[in-house]
Amino acid sequence: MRAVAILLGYLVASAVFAADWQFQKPLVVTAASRGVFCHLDASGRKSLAVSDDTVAIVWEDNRSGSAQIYAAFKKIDADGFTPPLRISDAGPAYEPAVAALPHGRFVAGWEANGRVWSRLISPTEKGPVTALSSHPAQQLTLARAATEGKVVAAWAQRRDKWFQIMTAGLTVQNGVVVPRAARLVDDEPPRDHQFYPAIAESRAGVVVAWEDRRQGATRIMTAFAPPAGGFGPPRVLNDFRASRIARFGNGTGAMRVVLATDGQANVTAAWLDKRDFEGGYDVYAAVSEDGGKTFAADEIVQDMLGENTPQWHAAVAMSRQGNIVVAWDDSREGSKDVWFSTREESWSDDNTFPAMEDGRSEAHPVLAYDDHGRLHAAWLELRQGASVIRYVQGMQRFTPP
Amino acid sequence: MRRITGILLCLLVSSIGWADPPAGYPFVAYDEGLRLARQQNKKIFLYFGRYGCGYCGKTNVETFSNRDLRKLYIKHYILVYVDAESGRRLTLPEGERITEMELGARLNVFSSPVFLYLEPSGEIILRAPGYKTVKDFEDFDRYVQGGYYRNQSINEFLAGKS
Repeated sequence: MRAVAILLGYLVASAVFAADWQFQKPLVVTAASRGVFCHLDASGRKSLAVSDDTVAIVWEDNRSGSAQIYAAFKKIDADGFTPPLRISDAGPAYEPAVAALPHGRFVAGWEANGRVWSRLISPTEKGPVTALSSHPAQQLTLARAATEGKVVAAWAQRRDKWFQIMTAGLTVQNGVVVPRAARLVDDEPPRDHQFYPAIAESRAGVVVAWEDRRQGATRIMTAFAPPAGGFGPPRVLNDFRASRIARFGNGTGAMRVVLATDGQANVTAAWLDKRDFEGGYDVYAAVSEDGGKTFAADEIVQDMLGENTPQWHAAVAMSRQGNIVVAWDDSREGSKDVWFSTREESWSDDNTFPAMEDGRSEAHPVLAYDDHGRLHAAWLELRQGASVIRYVQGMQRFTPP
Repeated sequence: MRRITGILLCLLVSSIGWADPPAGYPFVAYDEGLRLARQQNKKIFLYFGRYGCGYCGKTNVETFSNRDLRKLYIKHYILVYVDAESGRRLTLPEGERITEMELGARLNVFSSPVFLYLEPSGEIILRAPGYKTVKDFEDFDRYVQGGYYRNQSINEFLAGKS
């Protein structure tokens, strides 16, 4: 009898937080022929952005014979994307990112010839290409700034022996991307590499997260700067386990951090974390309520069914309404599938997007919310040597208790 | 002279015991290794390490410092090192550009170190995760170079000690 009461209590409690997703029909963004390989792998996984009623996706592929950057657009209610628009001039070009400006315009950026570059793009225009780095640089990421019409950028730039994280604000003047106030996030003399930055700006300030090797293993570090202020000292974001053997090693690793904000002061970070080294990387997340100045304790994101399978390619999105979703890929059911979890009071059971098929590899998710709380997701499908970028749009419907 | 060389090798290995590849071995990148393996028709020894990995450091210092092992593996294999967290770019034979981290994701390498023995084509012969001794590597070498993997699992081979 007591067991029945507990079960009923659990069911009632579950109903309070139950949320259904309604997805529209998945669409193909681009389908490459055999021998052509698409990639969605921007630093911070910012390959998808939404500006008003326009969705933009950027990717790298080798359809021209060398790696180049392409973009495709769609109106939110349209049932297809525009044909691919090549946006890199020289090359090979790698790892593009995109961030939204108002009125269906975007800033896209990428790496080519050992530097990072940027240009304005929209379904009807391409601005001139602007160099963001004067030194060797890689791993550019972009995000919408708190101030309308601006974008924030971060990248890894080599100074002497080490790569260090740089940031800049980007504005657009007469169709030209103009970098402003490029600066180091951490101006201490470097002791090892800093890689793969993510950036988010809310009204509380700008936060940058990155992979940092100064402690002898890869840690996730963050630094925060208030509006018009300088960056504070870096803080280690991820918990880690010390090496289990004397004299060797510096603890468990973590990598590929991503950030998202609701634009107010809430920020979510997610990353791949190997503290449970026997199961490979897990997806961990931490939330901040002060713009990224401090983060609450780490939380594991994927559910128990994904516990013994390594997770890869974590992405995060936050809506203006405060919804949080993290997506990744893993092989818990044999072939790679994209999974996602939402955070209410805790992380939900894992879900898959529609159009996941057995025997097909679906991986490398990218995510963005639009201002109306609709989730836009894309991922890479691989089957028999051919790659497809697929997109879906969904909305979370909360079930009344 | 042999003693001095041995000490020098030991010092080199111990100085970088934080899961870079062991010094004194001609490790190359994965794509270069595939090219060389096909060109020379040699099998590949692929070492997946991670920056800060304790058991990688222990294997480097305690195992790869062995002079005879070094000689054996340089003779028998194209030696490839992959940093499992690295964004270093590789070009696969079919033309696809991936990163070292992505190679680990595709080969389902989720701990470190992991040692893989590959055919010149890249096909996996043997996967050996975790810390390994000189004797382990000598046994694996006999299993791979002797062609026993065609008919036996590694456990069957080790039980029978062919």
